[in-house]
Amino acid sequence: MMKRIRISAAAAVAIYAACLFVCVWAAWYFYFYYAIIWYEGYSYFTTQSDTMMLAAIFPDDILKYIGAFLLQFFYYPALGAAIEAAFAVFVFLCGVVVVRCLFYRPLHLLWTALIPVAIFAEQSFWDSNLTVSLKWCLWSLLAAVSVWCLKLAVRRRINMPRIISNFVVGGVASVVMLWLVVYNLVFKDGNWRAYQDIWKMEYLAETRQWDALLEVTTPAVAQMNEIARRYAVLALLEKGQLADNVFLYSVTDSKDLWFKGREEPMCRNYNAMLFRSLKMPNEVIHQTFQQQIQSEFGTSFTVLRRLAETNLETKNYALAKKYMDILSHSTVMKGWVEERKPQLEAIRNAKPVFEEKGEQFYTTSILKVTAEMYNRYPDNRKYADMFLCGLLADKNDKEFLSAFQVIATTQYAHGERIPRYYQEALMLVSVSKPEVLREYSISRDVQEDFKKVMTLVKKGDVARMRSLYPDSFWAYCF
Amino acid sequence: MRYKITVFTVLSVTVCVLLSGCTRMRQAAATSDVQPTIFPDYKGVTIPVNIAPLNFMVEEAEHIQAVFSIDGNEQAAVCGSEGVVDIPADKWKDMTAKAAGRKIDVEVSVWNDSNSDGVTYKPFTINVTKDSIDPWIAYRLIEPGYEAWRQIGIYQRELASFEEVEMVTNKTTKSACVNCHHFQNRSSKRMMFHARGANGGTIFLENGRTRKIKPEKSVAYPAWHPGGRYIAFSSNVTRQNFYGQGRQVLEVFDKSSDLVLYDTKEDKIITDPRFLTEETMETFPSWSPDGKWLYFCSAASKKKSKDLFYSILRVEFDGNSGKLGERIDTVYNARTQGGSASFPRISPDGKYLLFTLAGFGTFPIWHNEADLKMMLLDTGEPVDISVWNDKENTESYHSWSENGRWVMFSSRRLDGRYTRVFIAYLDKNGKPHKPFLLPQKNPRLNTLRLKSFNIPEFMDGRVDMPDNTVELFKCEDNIIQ
Repeated sequence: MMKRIRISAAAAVAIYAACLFVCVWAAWYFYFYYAIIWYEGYSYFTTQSDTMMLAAIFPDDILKYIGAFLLQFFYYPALGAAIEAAFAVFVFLCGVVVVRCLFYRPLHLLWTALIPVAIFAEQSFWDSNLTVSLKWCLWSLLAAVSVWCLKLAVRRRINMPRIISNFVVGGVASVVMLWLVVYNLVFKDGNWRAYQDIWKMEYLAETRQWDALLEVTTPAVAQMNEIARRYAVLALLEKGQLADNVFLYSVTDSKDLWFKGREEPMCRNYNAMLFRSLKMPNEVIHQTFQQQIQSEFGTSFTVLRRLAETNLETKNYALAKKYMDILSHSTVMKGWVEERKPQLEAIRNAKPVFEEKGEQFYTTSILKVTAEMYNRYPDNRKYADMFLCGLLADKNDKEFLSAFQVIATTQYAHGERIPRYYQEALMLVSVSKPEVLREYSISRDVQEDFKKVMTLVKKGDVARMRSLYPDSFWAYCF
Repeated sequence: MRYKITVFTVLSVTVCVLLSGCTRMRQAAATSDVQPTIFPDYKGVTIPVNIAPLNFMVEEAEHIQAVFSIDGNEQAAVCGSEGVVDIPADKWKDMTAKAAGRKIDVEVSVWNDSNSDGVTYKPFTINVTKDSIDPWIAYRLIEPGYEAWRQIGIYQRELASFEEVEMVTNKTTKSACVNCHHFQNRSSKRMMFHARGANGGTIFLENGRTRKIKPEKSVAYPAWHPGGRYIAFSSNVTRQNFYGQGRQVLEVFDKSSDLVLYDTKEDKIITDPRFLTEETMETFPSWSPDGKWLYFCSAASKKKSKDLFYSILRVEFDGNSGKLGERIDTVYNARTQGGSASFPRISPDGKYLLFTLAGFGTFPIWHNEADLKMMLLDTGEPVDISVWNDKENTESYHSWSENGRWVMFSSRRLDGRYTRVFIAYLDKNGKPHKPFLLPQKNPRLNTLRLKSFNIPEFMDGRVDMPDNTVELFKCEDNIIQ
């Protein structure tokens, strides 16, 4: 006969807690990896009393401040997941105290302590400043202490029927409750997926993983999501594929290349990364400052890190040092700052680089910006591609031709391959200006295809043309 | 029992050591014939007797000590860790009182990686004048630019201490903006500021109570007539654009602006058609101390900000009738004298005109070439105040102390972006002295603070703003551009 295993109450609680910790940790780490990174980036913690004095209202913001302290550890996603799991375990342990105070044979009823955890799990993903989690912990603690005090006064406990408080029911219920915790956290509300995808795009763009970014921002995703559309543009621009693929990604206007007049932090963040790619530090700082405005405590780690890095790049010692000093007043970012100290030392006596060629110009539109920058840096392909693709997106073939004629003198003067959309646009232009065909090298395939396109268009069969050449500029244009 | 006493003693000593930071003065092994590089740069500055301790620091110093002497007699010795000299307030007060009209010599010794046995630097001096400074100042703390805001507040600071307190902020109504704080004759009892946002208006503090008015014309920059009844306002339509390249990152400029008067007794706007034309723009009003002249900046309207060059004009004013007179003088002519002028401020004795001069445009704060300029009002002759300016960085808003001996101005000289407050002395002979940065308890705050100091103004005391003031302009929490 098999000997029945007897374990102590403490060991049982420890096993429950360990299982819960592992489940919640794994759910956060494997499902919400980019959310953890985003939460850290958009939070800010400092030991400076000044920042808190100006930005926080105490005592109302005490929980936000504690949350901000914990969020800085999310810089390491494994640690962030562990903190989230620790919240769940804390709520569970408080529940255990309640169960032990209220019931006889509490060992078989430990699963009931998971009930509040399951409810808490449902709310924890959207808790970007951790105040909900901290409130749960506080209320759980209060409940546990209250029940414990009550037990001291009334020394009676509830005797639950054997049918509920037995080993088998306890075991099964525990597994079900653990599953429910994970279900509520991950599967119940699928809205997090859209955000997780955007945060993933932000992360991949921030870390310059352009191939991986294009894998996320597929044409289908870009069609549905304006942020994905723009990140696809950024990845294509970096990879030199903008003029070959931009219209696969549902770009319908030059405004789709950036965010104009949008205050949401994610929009400003994209703009900042676009201008980082375009090597325009003024605009990186401008967009980052705008992103900063939305922050809970007046700034965020993402903002400060970007400001520090941008000023290091422009050799602006005073400002780079300022932002690094501020970052070093957090607990986790000290290491980040230490890593960059040699870079800072290297620019101590350098003159800041305020690159300025020609007349100053305003950044009123992406076309204006890229045209002006191309005029100053004609060898830079990115400016040329952004400008020409913007004109094509606006279906401005007249401006396109005159711009292309200038750009071609630097970008395609030595027989370089002209990107697909430019060739297709030139074919369209050639209808009224046939000399274009003599001036630029357009592939025979494109010329043949264009003949077929025009035949179909003249017949009025645009739908068939689109189905035959779905990814072409012609399909976009007609 | 013995064990308990031992534990208590060890704990007490530990606590004392931790609290004191540094416990004894050391003897440096080497001497240097150069003065130390300290932050803020207080070497050779001139200060009033009633200013807070000029705490300073030396970067990367593990141990620092400073000996303060007057005429060779040691007054105080301060040592500090992490490179900061934090002068005890009582010692500083005694010392500055003794040194009034004389100077304090400061000998600094530093222990760091390159001077592990310490080095004593050549002493520097701090000149202490008998001329006191107004007890309080007010300023707005705001992010330097750009299009939107989230946390804005008007704060007040006692100059003899480090006490900084909120006057009014938008912490509880983030969409609202507070700006253009202004006082009648520097009085802490009678002031105004604008609140922007869905429920905005102009807020007046009088007799300990606040009230909100909504003038029929949108008003911006105020100038309270010394008599107290009238306030001159400019009414501006302001725009900003961002530069793609270059050191100057943005341009803020007026598309149009007019001058109006507000009668606080009748609660009505008084207009004068001469100052409402579209052809010329008038802004930044300011009164002469006797209230007989209204100074302002004026420029011909242009489409491009680069073509805007403001002159300083003045128009007669009759305080009895509340009417602007016929006579208009050009005090600074931008066309012949160059640049673009802003913020004209007349010294309390009516002798000097202090203003900001930029290369072009309306707002000088983003113009690194902008400097303070001063001229004698009776002759129009310039006064050399280059010692107040940093050629590489912006100097902008400024105000006179009540006795006219002190000028407080904003400057971006620390890092080129965040505006800080500097105070400069102008002696009775009209000689300007080296300015000093507004002292902070921890000098690092000057760099760690992520806000700019905006519109620094002197006050005769602390403003007691009623707690419910924010209710006057509370609005929904939306980001405003």
